[in-house]
Amino acid sequence: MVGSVEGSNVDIATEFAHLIVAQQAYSSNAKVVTTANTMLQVTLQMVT
Amino acid sequence: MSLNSALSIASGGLANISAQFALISQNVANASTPGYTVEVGNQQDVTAGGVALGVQTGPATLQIDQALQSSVTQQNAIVATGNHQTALQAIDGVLGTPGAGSDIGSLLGNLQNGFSTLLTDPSNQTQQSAVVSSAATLAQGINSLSAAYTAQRQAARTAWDRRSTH
Repeated sequence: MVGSVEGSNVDIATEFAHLIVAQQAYSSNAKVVTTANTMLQVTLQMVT
Repeated sequence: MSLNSALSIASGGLANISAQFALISQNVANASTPGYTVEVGNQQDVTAGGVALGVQTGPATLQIDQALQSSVTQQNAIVATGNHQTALQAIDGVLGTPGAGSDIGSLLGNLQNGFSTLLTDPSNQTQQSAVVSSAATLAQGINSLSAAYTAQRQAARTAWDRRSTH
């Protein structure tokens, strides 16, 4: 055991699963932003 | 929920996911780094008076086995205590028991007694040699104590060097 170094505990599969989840969450948040943008534009068109 | 708060919450969510992307890419990039520990993001929902205000991104934490970590700390402490005990016992053995005759205090007392006796008859050859003899014994005791200290210091130093090289 002298001079040995422990390897990283990263599970690549788990990390990519996290990546996919984060991607989906990002899309959903972006969709919310787009919807808010559209609705605000409708409001502005009502004023003008 | 107003349109503005929806927009604000969504942008907060985007910021949170951006932080998560940073963590995930860091984890993937260091997948083969020796000794690397997975970093996990922490998040919490924020509400004020029942009104949703979005998500709060907390500081990232390392994903370590708490039980294993505490066990390692405990073992290190036990080993360190054992080392200290060995070193101190070696020095204690040289110091001797106070009042038993072989410790520094007793040797010094012997020398003082010899001088006191010599004071009453300074020309007594026997007393003179007795004083010299007890002084030599005292010097010997101090020397062996000093040697024991040096040996233990050296041993501790060697152990430290060996540990710090890996």
